[in-house]
Amino acid sequence: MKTNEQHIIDELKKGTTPVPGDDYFAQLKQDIFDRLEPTVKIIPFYKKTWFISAVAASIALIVSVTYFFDGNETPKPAVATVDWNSVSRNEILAYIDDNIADFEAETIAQHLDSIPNWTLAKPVVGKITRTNTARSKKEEKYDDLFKDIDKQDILKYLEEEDIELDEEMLGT
Amino acid sequence: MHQHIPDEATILSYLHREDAHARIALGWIIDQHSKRLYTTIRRWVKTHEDTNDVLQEVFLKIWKNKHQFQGNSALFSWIYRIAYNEAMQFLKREQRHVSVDLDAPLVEFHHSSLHFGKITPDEISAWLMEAVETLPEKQRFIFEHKYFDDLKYEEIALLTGGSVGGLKANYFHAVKKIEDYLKTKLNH
Repeated sequence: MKTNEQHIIDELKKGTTPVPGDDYFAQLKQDIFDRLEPTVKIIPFYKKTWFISAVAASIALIVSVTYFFDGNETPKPAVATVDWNSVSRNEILAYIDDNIADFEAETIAQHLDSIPNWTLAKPVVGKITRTNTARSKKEEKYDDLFKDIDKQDILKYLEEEDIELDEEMLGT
Repeated sequence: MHQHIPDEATILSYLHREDAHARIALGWIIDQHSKRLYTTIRRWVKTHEDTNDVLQEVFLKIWKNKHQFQGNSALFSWIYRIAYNEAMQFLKREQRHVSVDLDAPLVEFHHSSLHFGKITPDEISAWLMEAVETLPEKQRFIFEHKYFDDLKYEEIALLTGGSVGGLKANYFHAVKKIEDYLKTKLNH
């Protein structure tokens, strides 16, 4: 029998518990992660559908803008533009004279109404760059275009050409 | 395995999140505790294959119940409790007992006296584990890590969060109970 001073466990020789190498614990970690329930996956930004669509749309936009814009940052509308620099006042008048039969009275009235302060004058000094309602500095340069032609002259011209316009259409 | 593992508060704050940070925290826990848990569980379930199965279940249970642990005790104490319960459930399912089916004896007598010479290493190992199993959780935890793993009290204190004095008291209580258990077995 053992005395009170000495424990039985002190008489025991301990064995060693075998421990696997680091490879086992690395694999264990992987196995555990493989068994975790799926959570919300973090989808890389570039794999998101909306992102792909947005990129595609952006590329299309860039291509379109690049196609329609020249190198001077001057936007060109998609429709054919009028380069007023290349058209003299006399040429414009000649064109109207030759093609007046093709113009509808209402169309002329709308144009007159939309450019109330524009008058045909000296040669054009810039390009018409945009068709929206906001007027750029370049557009303001065209104010001189029709300054020497009075609306009354236009009305007289239309009258001579037997084109009927009422006062309301002309905005007078 | 060699990456820096942050303090327990940081690990917990990551573990309780619902995004990828929680998995990072689990990775830290696995890196920090898998070896220690392996040796502990293997003492209980004996074979490598069974140890591997139980160990995986332990970490999955940690993951599943991560919100139940709020840091009121040391993290490893909580993990140890999960590991012990998981191992005991495993043995119960396998209709085995912690003290039988030993691959290799945990202990044997240094010197074969006339009295102890009749006790085989398997027998004394089995009785020792039976005795350990009778201990309260805290005493079992301290005894296993002090006696089998040769950890210093200071190292155990880091795992349990207890004071060194309290650990010593618990250890001697555990030894006393084990002695009584073994004496009873040896005298029969």
